[in-house]
Amino acid sequence: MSSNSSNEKYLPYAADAEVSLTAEELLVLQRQYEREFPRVRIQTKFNYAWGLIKSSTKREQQLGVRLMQEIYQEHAERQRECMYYLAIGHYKLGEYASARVFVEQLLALEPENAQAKCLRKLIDDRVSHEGLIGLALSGGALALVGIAAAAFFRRSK
Amino acid sequence: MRRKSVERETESSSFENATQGFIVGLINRVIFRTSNTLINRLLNPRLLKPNKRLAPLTLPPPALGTAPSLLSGFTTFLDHSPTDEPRQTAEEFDAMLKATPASVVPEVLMERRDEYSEYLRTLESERADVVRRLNDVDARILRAVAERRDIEGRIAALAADPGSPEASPLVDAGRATVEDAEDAAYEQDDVPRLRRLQHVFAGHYGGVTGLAYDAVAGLVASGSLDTHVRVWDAESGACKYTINGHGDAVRGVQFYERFLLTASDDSRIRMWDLSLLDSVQPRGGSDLGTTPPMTPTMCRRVAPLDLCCESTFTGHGDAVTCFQAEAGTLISGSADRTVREWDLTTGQLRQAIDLTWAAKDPARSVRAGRRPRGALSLPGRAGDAGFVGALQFYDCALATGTADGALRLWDLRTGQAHRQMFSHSMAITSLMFDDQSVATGSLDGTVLLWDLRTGQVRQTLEFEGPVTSVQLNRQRGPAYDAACWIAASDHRITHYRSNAMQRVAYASDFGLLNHSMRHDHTDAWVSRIYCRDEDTLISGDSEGVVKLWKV
Repeated sequence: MSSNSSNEKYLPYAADAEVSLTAEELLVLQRQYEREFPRVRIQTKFNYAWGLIKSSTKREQQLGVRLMQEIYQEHAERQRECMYYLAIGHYKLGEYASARVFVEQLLALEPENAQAKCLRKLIDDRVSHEGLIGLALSGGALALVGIAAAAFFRRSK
Repeated sequence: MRRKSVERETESSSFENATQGFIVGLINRVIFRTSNTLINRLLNPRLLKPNKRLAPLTLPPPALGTAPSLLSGFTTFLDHSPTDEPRQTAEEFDAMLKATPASVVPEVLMERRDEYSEYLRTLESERADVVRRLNDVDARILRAVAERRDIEGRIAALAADPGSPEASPLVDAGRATVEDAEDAAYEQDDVPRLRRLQHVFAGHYGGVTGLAYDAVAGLVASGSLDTHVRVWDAESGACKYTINGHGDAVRGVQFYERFLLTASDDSRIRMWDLSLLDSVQPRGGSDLGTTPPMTPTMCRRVAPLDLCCESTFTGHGDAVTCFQAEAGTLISGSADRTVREWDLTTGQLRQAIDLTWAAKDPARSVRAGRRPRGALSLPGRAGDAGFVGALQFYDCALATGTADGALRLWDLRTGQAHRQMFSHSMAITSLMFDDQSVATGSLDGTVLLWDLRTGQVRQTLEFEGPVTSVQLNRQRGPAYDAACWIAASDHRITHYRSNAMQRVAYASDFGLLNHSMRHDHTDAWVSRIYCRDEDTLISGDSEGVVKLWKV
């Protein structure tokens, strides 16, 4: 079965999440979701959640992650897929720790999944990238603060 | 200390994010080596909530791939959304409007108006597309007509030469020639001839790809690679209508009630109302030779032919290769690796079955007795499993033959294949079943007769060339007996009885008056046969000639 899941049509690569839907398409999905409220079908909910995660505004991504979370909790048979989508959602939001947790869980269950491995690599790269930037900036900030403090104390002395 | 904190606050927010990212990175790199659960508790406050999502999963969730992916439903839905007409009809909308409270009514009306303007916009763009394609086709027709005149001129010049045989021009449209079985110019083979050739319908200039016969109305329909569909009268032999409603080669035709369904490589299936066609083409079929080359396209708003098109089923992404309509349901298979089920009365899509997903499940397959030639049919080559070569359905049971040589039986209610039978080594080109057995013909030159209940191959027939068409008919009688007609890419049609296991090959390449003048043996091979009752057989060949036989 694992060969099934590494099919690109089954789980999208993370790059697919960067391409957002047009406003009209998202509106269609939203209307479909609202029409079926409160007992929404899983496919409708997933369509809407995935469409939201793909968008570029933070608010919509958060809403999408929340909906995907609900699918994860309600439908046990879809949990593996939801783990992957939740990982992508958290990755886009910037919560790399949660994203990492989900990807590790998925890889523990499906070690051969190409998309999950790729996503884990992406998360690691992004984390170390931001880590380096943070390191440089905080080093520079500390240096500035140190110079300012030294200047202040020298003046006061 | 206070100044430090004040200064830190005045930095930009990206710095804060960066430091947070840095801390996360540090902890990620240091502590991840030990355990994940520590991170869960330390870092993200949301994770501290006693969420079900981090409780140890009591049962491992089912593996990926046991059900169609959610993503496939997403992409299918998106492909549909822009071009749909507004879902509710006018009456439903009025009823709904009466039920809504007055404060919401203007919004609802505006929504409805927006839906219609969206729909109009898509129609406009489709229309612009179609007009462009019509212009292209006009240009091509102009060129073809010019070439034809050129060739005719050359032939006439040759005919002026004394001593050359009578060189008749290319086959005329719509003329039927009834040929007696004893044709002097036909070289005698030891291959017997098909009993009685009744009519020869010539008029297509591309190979015949689809045939249908309506015994009640006495009509024969043929679709061909030249993108035309012709409807012939079975008694008189004349061409009743010519339908050029497709932009690409026609792959299949079928009569259904008073309609004619045609499917083509341009990924559309169109349903034509035959009673309306009478009023559109009273002359009995237009001929390409008399099409006026200078049709002013400015005047062409809606071709009257389109008025006869009752509905068009769009939605396939690629060429439609086979279809069948029965009892209000239309099932079509396509090169875009899906099988779609449509409702004939409303024209809506009921479900789309993605074949590539179902193909990669070796656990459920039944290995039939005959080992396939070569190792090509193993499920590893799953990419071809989507291309549907032939299908047939009865009630909610569907049988498909695909390009990987697998015969699959599906249940339409669940959309799952409950059986896969691998025995062909190359793509299946045609398939037909009755209540007890399935006959499949494939490019590897074999026809297999399967038993539906056990899933095993009962009989194997081998031919020299790829099998293009198979028809299976249940014979009347106490024991089970089936008669098959097989076309295998030469000019012979083979008849096979399953009880007696006897096969007889009939030659079919005679009947055209002027063909014997052109070559001794025609190169045309039979591409399609159609036989649903015991006494009428229709065959179409690769030159575009359709023949009606009484057997």
